[in-house]
Order: sequence, then structure tokens, then C-alpha cells
Amino acid sequence: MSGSETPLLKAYGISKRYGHVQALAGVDIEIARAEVVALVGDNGAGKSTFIKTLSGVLRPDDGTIEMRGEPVRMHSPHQAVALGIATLYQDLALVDTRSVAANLFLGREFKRGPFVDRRRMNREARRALEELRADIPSVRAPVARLSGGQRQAVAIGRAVIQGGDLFIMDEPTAALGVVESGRVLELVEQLRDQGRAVLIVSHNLEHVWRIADRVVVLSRGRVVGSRRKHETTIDEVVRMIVYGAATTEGEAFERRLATDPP
Amino acid sequence: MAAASDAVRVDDRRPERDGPASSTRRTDWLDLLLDYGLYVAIVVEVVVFWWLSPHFLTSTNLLNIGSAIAVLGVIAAGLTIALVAGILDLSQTPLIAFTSIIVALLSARHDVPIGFAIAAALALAMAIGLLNAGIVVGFGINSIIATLAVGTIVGGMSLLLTDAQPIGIPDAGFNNFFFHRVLEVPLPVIILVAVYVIAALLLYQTKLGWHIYATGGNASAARRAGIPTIAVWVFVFVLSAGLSGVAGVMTAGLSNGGAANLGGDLLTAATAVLLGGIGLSGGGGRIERTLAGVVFLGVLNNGLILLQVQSFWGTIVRGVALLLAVIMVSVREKRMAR
Repeated sequence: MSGSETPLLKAYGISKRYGHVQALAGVDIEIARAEVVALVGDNGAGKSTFIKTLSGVLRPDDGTIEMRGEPVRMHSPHQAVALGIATLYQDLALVDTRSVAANLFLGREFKRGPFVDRRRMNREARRALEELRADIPSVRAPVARLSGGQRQAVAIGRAVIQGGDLFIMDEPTAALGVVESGRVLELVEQLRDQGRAVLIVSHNLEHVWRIADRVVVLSRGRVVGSRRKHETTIDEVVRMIVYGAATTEGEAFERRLATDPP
Repeated sequence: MAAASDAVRVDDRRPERDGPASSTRRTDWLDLLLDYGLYVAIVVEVVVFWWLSPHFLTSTNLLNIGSAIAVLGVIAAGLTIALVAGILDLSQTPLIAFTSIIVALLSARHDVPIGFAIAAALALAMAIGLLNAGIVVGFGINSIIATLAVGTIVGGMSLLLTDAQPIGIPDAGFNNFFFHRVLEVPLPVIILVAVYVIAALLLYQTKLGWHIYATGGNASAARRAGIPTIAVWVFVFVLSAGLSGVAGVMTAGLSNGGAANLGGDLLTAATAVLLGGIGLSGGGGRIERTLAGVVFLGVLNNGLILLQVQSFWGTIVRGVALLLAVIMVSVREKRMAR
């Protein structure tokens, strides 16, 4: 098990500047296989910029990204996908008019002779969704007929089929109701059980707490804290998000006194 | 198979407001109407005309209907494939007249053998399709405006080339060819069926066809999935123009010449397409339904003629059909977007 010692992804010193704004100022992060890491932080903390550098959309000004111990340079999202980094954007990039199976194999349809192999795609689509325990009535149904959570499942299923090892999810539960959110969180757990890693960006700490193994807090382009979930509390994470540093309870109390005297 | 049974658990745990499950059940009848209403309408038409006219349900008359709808059907196929890709191609009808003129001019005035004249006309049509594609893709212009402009130019060229006079084709063999029958079936009907069979194979069974749907349905998602959307659009523009060329050659053969006023009106083809429920927003629709729309209009026209109804009524009925079709398409798209 030498592989378990090298993290699946290691990024260090990642910096990105937009004009006068230092969006990322040396971000370090490691993600192991079968680990769910939540990336949290206030608006403008640099979460979106950071995941874009991991998914090949943005090139960092500085810093190194290693996948499976090998340094990688990504010039396009396609290269990230080829390296096993699957990014699920909020729009999910689904074709609503097409079936679940057609979406799962979008752009990489199986062929049999000159024609598409519909039966094989339906079969493998069913299998991929079963492995995820996704709740989708039929792989032939058009995606437009699915609920928000089911659509997430299709997008995740596609990334699984494309060979994703690391899943980057940007606010996957933002537009969903309680039950649908629960389903998506179950999908994330399913991915972890399959040995895949997930980096999930979310504003919803309650959701984060249900699934994350580790919480990484970003503030003004820096990692201000990285905690195993069972070694921290929601309160501590909130304090890190708000005050931008790993403060002790005492310090936070003093600050509160200073700003909001009893 | 624990996972399987887990995966197919449906609906039971889903409360209202959290998923579309409840609404899919409630309005099944509307789905049925949208999916099969057109076919039922054709059956009703046939029964009514059969009842009212003894000449309607004869093989001669049915083949007449087939010949009458062949040209319309071919361009409606092109219109459908373009719409699936998210393109509205308005240069089709001017192209029909134009290709008929090219065939007639080359063979009548320049003594070009008819086969070469046909090939040249088809190539020219496809070149104009390439021009459409270049304008739309290159400048990012809406396909409606671009093809309207190109169609207008093509229409003007047709008038210029012919001085607005019809040009006859002296080669009687060409004309006879299109009135040729194979096992009693007129050649235009065979062409029509072949076009639809090939188009259906393309759309449903090939990777390219799936990519046409994906490009029309969500171009940005298709692009991110690695589908060459620009190449798909170029192909579709050229195919649509090529089918207009085929329709133009058929028109030249059937009317034994070319003229700027040939080609019929695009609105009839659009009515057929809309009757088939092909949405205007791209990515959806099935081409056999367009053929059904064409058949519906062909039967209607034929029946009204047989019953000697004044032809203006036909226009009114077509207008009503167009209106119904548009309403149905709009209902369908709203349901998809829900």
C-alpha cells in the first residue's frame, strides 16, 4: 500500500493574481484517495479561483500541482479530465433534451460498426448509476424530466464513466431542496466508498459536516486552517471563516467583546 | 442485486415539491396527445375523405399524394435536421428554385449532359450551404438572419439568371425519369422514402447524429464534452442545402425546367415540421414525425381537391393547422423546460 502514502492530489504554493487583487496567495492542499475534503470560506476567499486552477480552466501564476505524486501542468480542462480530475460545475453541462444514457456517454458514445451501440450504453449507464446507488427510474428518460438531485447524479455518473479519480464539486447542493441535497450527499459518500476523492466547495456547513473527512478553510487567498472533522467543531470552522485565522476560543471571545460588548 | 433494486426505487419516498414525479403522472394524457395526436389526425383525415370520396382510397390517388408531397418532404427533412442542430435554415426554398434553374440552364443553353448538370447544381447548393455555415459560425450571426439574407441573394440571382422567365429542359429523358415508376411507385416517392430512411439512420444511429442532437440541445455542454460543435453545424448547413438541391433537381425533373418562382413556400414545410412537434429551440424532435406532418398536409390538400372544395379553404385550413402546431410545440417545450 505504498500508493496510500502519496496523496492523490498535492497542490502547493498556488498563487493567482488578477491585476491588483491577489486571489490566491500560496494555497497548499493535499487530498488522499477515499477522502472527502470540504473547501469552505467567505465570498471572495478564492474558492472558485482555486478549483479552476485544479480543473485546468485557469493557470496559476505560481505553484505546483501533483497528481499521484507526479507534477502536472494543465493547459485545458481536457487535460485535467485525462488526468482523472473531474469537475462538476453548477450548470452540470447536461443536454436536457437527451436521455440519461446519452448524457452519460456524451461525446464518447460507444459504436458497433458504423452505428452507435445503444444497448451497451444503456447497460453501462444502468451499471454506473447502480454503483452510485443513484435513484434514476430509467436511463432512457430525458434529463429534462429529472429532479435537481437526479441531474447531479447523471453529471457525477458521467465523470465516473470518464474515469474520474478526483471529483471537484462546486456547490452541488446550492439549488436543491432538503431531500435532494441528502441524495447528493449520499452520492458523495458513494464516491468515497469507491475509493475516489472529492473536493467539495460549499457554503452549507451543515452539509459539509455530514460528509467531509476534512475541512479546509480559505480566507483572502490563503489556507487559514485544515482540520480533520472529528478534531474540530462547526464553531471553530465558523470562527476561521469569519476571522480569517485559526484563533483560539479565548481570542475569539476577546474579539467578540471588543466588537460587541455585553 | 441489492444495488439494482436500490437504484430503481421510484417516487415513493419523494415528497411533493422536491421532484417532478407528481406532475409526470398527472398529465399523461397530454403526453399522449402530443406524441400520437398527429397520427390519430391522419387516420381521421383518411377515414373522413374515404367516406366522402370514392376516389380517395385508390392506389392511384395514394401514389398521387406521394408524388405531390415528395419535394415538400425532402426540404422538410432538411429543415428538421437543421432545427435539431439549433439552426433555422430559411435559404431552402430559394435554393430549390436556384438549383432547378442551374440544371435547366446548363442542359438547355450550354449542352451540358444532364448528369453533369445535376451534379453541378447539387455542388453549387452545397457550396451555398457552406457559405451559410461560414457566415453563422464565423461571425456568430443568428442563423435566421444569415440564411434569410443568403436566401434573398440566391432568389435575386435566380431572377437575374432567368430574366424571370421559365427555362425548359429539352432532354425529355430527364423529365420521363422523374415520372418513372418502380413497382408502380413513382420515383419521387422512392426518393422521399430514401431521404427519410437515411436521415433517421443518421440522427438516431450514428455518433454524428447524436452529436447533432447534443449540439442543438446544449452547445456549450457538447463542446465541453469534446464534441466539435462547429464541424457539426457546418455539416448540417451543407446537408440542409444539399437536400434543397435534391428538391430542386426533383422540381426541375417534374416541371421539366427551372424557374425562379418554383420551390413552394417555406411556410408549408415549416407547418409540417411544427405539426411533427419539432421544437424551435433545438436538440429535440424525431424526423418520422416530420414525415407524418408532411403526409397530413398532403392528404388534406388532396382530399379537399377531390371534394372540390374551393382552394382558398385549403389555405385557411393550413393556417389553422399551423396555429395548432405552434401551440402544440409551445406546450411541449414548456413541459420539457419545467
